Amino acid sequence: MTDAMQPGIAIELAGVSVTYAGATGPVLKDVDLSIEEGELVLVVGRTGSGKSTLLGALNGLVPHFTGGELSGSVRVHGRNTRDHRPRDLADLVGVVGQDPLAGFVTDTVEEELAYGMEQLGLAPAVMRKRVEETLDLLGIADLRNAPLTELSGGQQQRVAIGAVLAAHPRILVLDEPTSALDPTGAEEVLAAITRLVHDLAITVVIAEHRVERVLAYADRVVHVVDGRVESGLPAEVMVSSTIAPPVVELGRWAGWSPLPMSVRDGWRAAAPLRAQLVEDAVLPSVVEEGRPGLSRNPLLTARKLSVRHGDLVAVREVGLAVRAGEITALMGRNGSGKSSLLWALQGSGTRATGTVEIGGADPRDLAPAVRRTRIGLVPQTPSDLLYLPTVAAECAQADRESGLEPGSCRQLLDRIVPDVADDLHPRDLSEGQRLGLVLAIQLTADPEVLLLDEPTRGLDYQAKSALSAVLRELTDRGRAILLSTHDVEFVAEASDRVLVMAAGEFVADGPTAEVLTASPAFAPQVAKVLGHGLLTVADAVARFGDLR
Amino acid sequence: MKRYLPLLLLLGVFVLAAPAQAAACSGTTGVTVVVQFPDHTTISCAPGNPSSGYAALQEAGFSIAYAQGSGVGALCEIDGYPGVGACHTMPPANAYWAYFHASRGGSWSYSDTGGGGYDPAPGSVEGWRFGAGSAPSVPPPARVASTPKPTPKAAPTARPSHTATPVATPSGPRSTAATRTPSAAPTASPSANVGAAPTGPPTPPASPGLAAGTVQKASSSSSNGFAWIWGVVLIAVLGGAAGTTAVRRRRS
Amino acid sequence: MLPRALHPLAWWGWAIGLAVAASMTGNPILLGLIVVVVWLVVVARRTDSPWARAFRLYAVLGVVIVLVRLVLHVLVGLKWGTIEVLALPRIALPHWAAGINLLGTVYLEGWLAAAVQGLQLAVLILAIGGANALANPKRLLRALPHALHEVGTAVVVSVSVAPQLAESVQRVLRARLLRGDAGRGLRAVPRVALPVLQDTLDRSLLLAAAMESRGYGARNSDATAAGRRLLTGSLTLAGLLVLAFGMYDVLDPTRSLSWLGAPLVALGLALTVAGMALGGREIKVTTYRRDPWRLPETLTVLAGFAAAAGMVISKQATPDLLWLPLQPLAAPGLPIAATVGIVLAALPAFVTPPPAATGRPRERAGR
Repeated sequence: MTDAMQPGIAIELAGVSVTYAGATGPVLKDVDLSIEEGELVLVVGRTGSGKSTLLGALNGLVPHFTGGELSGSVRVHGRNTRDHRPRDLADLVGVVGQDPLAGFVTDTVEEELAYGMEQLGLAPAVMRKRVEETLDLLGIADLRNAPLTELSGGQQQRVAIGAVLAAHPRILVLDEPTSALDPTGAEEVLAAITRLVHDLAITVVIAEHRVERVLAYADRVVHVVDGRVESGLPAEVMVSSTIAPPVVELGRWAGWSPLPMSVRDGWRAAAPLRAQLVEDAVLPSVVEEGRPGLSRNPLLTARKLSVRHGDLVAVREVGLAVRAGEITALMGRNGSGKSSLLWALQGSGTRATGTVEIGGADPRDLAPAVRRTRIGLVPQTPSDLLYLPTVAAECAQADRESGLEPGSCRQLLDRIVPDVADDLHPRDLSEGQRLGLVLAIQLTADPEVLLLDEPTRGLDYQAKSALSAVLRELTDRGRAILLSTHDVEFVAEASDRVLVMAAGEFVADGPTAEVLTASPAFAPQVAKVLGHGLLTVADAVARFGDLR
Repeated sequence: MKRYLPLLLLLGVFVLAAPAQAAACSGTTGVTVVVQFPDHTTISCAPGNPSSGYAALQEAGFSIAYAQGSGVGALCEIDGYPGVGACHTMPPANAYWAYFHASRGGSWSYSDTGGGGYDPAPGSVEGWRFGAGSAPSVPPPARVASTPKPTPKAAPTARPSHTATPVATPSGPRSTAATRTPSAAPTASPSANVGAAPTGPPTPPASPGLAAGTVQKASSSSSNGFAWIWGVVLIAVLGGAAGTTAVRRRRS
Repeated sequence: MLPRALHPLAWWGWAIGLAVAASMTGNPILLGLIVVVVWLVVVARRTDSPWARAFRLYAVLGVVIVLVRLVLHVLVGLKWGTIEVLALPRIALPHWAAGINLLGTVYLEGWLAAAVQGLQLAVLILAIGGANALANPKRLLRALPHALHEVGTAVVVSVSVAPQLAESVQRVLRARLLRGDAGRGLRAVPRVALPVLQDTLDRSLLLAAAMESRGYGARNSDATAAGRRLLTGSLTLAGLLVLAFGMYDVLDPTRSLSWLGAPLVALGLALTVAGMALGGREIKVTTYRRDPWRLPETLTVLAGFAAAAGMVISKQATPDLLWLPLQPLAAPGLPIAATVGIVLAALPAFVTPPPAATGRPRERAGR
């Protein structure tokens, strides 16, 4: 069924509401939205606000694939998703998900690029030509025969985008394409996307947690709050958005109008503030200002620690001391050995050489149950630890494991993420709630040192600040924390010290402000705008007081 | 000594096989064994209390062989029948040695276990018939010690089966047997052993399979000679080529 | 010859020839020859892709099979032979378990027969493993007729789920340590199985969603589609049924109507092919860079065929040389036709084009 649509409109949603089976209320409520051809639309919203449902509705995956009920109409270049299944829209809409590896059907780059075209029944000669074009467009020509599993995250995501693009869709839908990537990988992908928008005039709809990465490129922002949608120019929407990057927060605080969307905008608006900073010229030392619980003696010491996986040396003879009361952030690109180091420190992972000492013992020699009372680890996929049907059961099990009276884990959970219903299945929790549950379970054992592997993945700004507060509370009680992350803004906000890893070795180690401001790649937005050792909006507020 | 054991055993088997005539056990001990070939039937007695169906066959003077291929350990030949190739695979369902039990004078019942896993009671009857699994057409001999069974086989030289002869002792007590021992040698005149013809012991037309089998078995060990060395050399050459290729490709 | 990938069907044809040869012989010399031939061709012509590296696993599996067969013979095998190697007491079992020989004296002949049998199976698996290492199974599926496209995709998905499942099990096992739970046994099963199943399910759904939105399963739609689909289905089903009956008749030596087999097989094949052709017309999928079939492909298949043919000839001429003589025990023979056939099967190591280099990513994905 092809309805006439206004010329120049790519997607039109009229009165769309979506209710999933068994849900108490609709996920999307009465959404009216039209997206013009050639626009880059950024969809923002808190976790669970209905962003993914909105994106899924664009090519009919909602409700054809996910189930549930969709009222109203979604029309894509004149095709109504009511009558067209996602497969019938494949020539119009290309969809790229969060985890590129999960969506790969074939083994090698070239075959993956061709897969979509094969499904559409294009002639072999056409496919040949388009595969070459796509390889060039995304800069992956040298990888054409490479096995997909051996690519880096950024390369994989670019291949995923290329695989969709090769079929020449008119619309590209990307659901958090950079959430699993390191800053460099994310840059690669975003650069590729902006190039597509400008060169091919393709319509792009993109959802992204780390708004600071995309906001500068967006033509329009769609803000999803509790299933309702408002859309407008980025500067308008950002005034009241629940999700805002640091540069926007800084602009809101400083009262700039229009709000800065990028570091460049911010830099120009912040000239007076910077001038004031130069005048004062008294830099309060942000670091080492005697936080409660900070001690000189290391809680955990590692010497000459190496980890190898077959031929690959993941960690090469590193030494490390973690002090009580300190939050240390471990940064570095994907595959630089961060996870291997954390697992080796905890003692559950493999270790080729070296010693680790915590409280006079090597955690590797301790029984797992004793080990976790000294040093706890929250792994990259926290759900690996969960196997019981309800939150309450998981908590009760954690209390038993730690030999505490029932309710201890629940208390911790309430402090970390309040209002998680006892009878929920852990699978139904949001990303942040699930992380909170696992954190609570690991904290039940009250370890002296807590390691966290990529805890900020999939968390929105609010959840990240909540996490940062919880971690700070722990260090105030004399615990030590070591976490790995790609998220510069989170590091700026939460950590005291930063370690940068590359190829299994430490290449930088120092106070957060020092390491982060040393190179533009790691600098947070506020530091780029204001400089002078200020890293976060909170730093700026502390420095200038309330401007208004 | 051990090396020659198989050969000795083989000889012994033939020694014992030679006089295997139609003779059911006469007392309450011993296991009577009925083996029905396609063209004749042999009845013999395994004295004492054989430990298994296979042991009963062997102690009653039959030679047996086991399948080597996909049916490891299954019985495939009795007295060399059916011969060529039968022992390389599991015998097919329409041409195998079917195994039966019976009491004296009773009726045949198909065995639900193999001959290696069944311990026949003394005084019972064991039946083997080659074919698609039907019971021997000869009824199990009744317990009449002196009367030979009314089968075609006259069995004049009904052997004194009580003189329990251990399998491995080739020095058989009967001279008739002793003279025929050489038949196990490669020269193998199709011998003597199975007294099928009603006329009596001398050279029956029976069981060409045995003759062939005997020749095969005896000759295979000698004629193979050292051909296997060439095989090993070939394996070494090809394996060396593979090894060097692997090393070369790893380096590049 | 310019480097290129050989047509996957050629490698499978070659491997099947060797597997047929292996299944016909119990001569350790011939089996050993097949092993080195497979090894030679694999090391000479495999790529450095992950599935090619899996060949080592097949070799390990082969060794395990032989060892298990040897152990099983000691435990429950029917011990026969004359040369005693291991005197063990035989454990009597109750009547209902009659027929199982628990322990008991082990004889060399029986043990050797068991070893050869295990070796035969191991070589069979090694040959298939060789094909798997040389030809990506997923590429093989691309060479199938269109009508099998959907079945093929199902296989592709399950093939890619297996390694992910292994990775997931490993991850969850490791994560369990973090909860201080080193327990093993039955109690640990749900703690590993539930997260793994959940993970697998999630991934499968993601993959299915990705495939759906990339147009998988889209068909040429017209009014007669439903009727045609019914016809396709019934033709193929009927064809397969007839084929099954025909095969049964051909392969069962105790059959009563021996003349019926071949015609039934032919009819079944015809019906199936017709059904597939009809079904294939409805699917609009095309194939990117179809692998060409040239002289080296033909030679490769012929080389595999030579091994099987040599074995058949030897089976007619000197059947006893195909088996290790055990009653009495003697050195194995060397049947000429079979040996020549197997050695010919090593030709693909030389007459096929070398594999194209895989463009390896400069940086490896982590973990």
